[in-house]
Amino acid sequence: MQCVDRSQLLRGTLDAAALAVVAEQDGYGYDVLRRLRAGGLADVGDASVYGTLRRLYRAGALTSYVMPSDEGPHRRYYGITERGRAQLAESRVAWADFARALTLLLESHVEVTA
Amino acid sequence: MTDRPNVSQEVTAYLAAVSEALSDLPEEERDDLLAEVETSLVEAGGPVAARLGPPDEFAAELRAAAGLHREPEASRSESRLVAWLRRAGADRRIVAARPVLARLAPIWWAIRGYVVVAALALLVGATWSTSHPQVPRLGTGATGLFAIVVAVALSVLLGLRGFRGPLWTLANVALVLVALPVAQHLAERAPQQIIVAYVQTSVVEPQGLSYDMAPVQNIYPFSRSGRLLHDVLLYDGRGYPLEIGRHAPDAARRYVLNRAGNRLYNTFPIRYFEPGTAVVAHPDAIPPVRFPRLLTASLSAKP
Repeated sequence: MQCVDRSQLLRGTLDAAALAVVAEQDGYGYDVLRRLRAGGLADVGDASVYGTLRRLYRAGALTSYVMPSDEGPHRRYYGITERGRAQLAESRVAWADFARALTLLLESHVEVTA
Repeated sequence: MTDRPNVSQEVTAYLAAVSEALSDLPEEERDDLLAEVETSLVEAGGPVAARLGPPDEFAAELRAAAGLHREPEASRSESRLVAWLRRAGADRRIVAARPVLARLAPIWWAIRGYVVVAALALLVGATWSTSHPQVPRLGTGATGLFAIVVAVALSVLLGLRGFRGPLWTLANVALVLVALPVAQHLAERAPQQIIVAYVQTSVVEPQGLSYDMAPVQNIYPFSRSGRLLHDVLLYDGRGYPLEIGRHAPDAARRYVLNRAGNRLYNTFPIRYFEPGTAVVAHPDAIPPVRFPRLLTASLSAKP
């Protein structure tokens, strides 16, 4: 039995993670995927990232432009918008609260069961 | 999807399968998603299916992450129009225009309330207020006005409640269509602007001589010295007599006759007899002419 379903955790936090990566530097789909994995989210799936980027773009959190590539098809780069930055800022606060609360809960749980 | 020679058959086949699984999405949205996947597949290399899993599952994950959920079975029975509206609503341009449309929405809410009342009035053949042509008489004009106010208030209330969905959109589209005959009716009942149009249907050619489209009643020929000439015969360049009054015989007119006894109508100035006589009272009478003093020598003068 898996104690913490990382895929479920990712599902709720991928928006924030993708926004954070793009906020750092504009990137295209596969580039964002690699940076997320390099950042520790090794389990993140291709489809989840591409779909998330498209959804954030439709919601106005990301902007988009196309750049030609010598290695293959044109790359669609994503950059963060003001709306995206606001969403990212809210996500940071929400995650910090959640992480703090969960950390406290888990630590107390350890003390009780120890 | 980009058709490039360096895209392997495996990638092409995988993309085609994903595309098929996303076939219900708007074309633009599907192409953008697939372009993203294609870039990834080309750059990552290696066996595609082993890395990404079966195309159906990949497409499902892509769809879920993009928030583009497959239509539930129950809604499959919706009409093509509803499906089209659903797709149109997801169109990028529509999405981009939404903030503006949202600000304008209250205006439409008010209009559609009126449209409902006006359309019903048209449907039942109600008469309309003469003083306020936009208000139908539902019994009385006041009742019609009350109905409009209530309908507009209800419509705005419904708008504020924020109902959404394709059926609601369909209802709004239907109301837009209904608004067309209502608008036409209002346009017809609007106070008519009086438009005076001068239409020249035919050109009435003045009989006889004319100058600047005005008939010439008489001609006064003068000599170089300013003396009025009498019984001067005028002809045009083709030798035709310049006649006045041939078709309107006038008993008071002094006609000049030729030897055959025929009247000449091209002799000027025309003179008129005193009533009941054969006497021209003032044969040298002329219009108020300021006769010029001539500088040019006479052509008839001998050098």
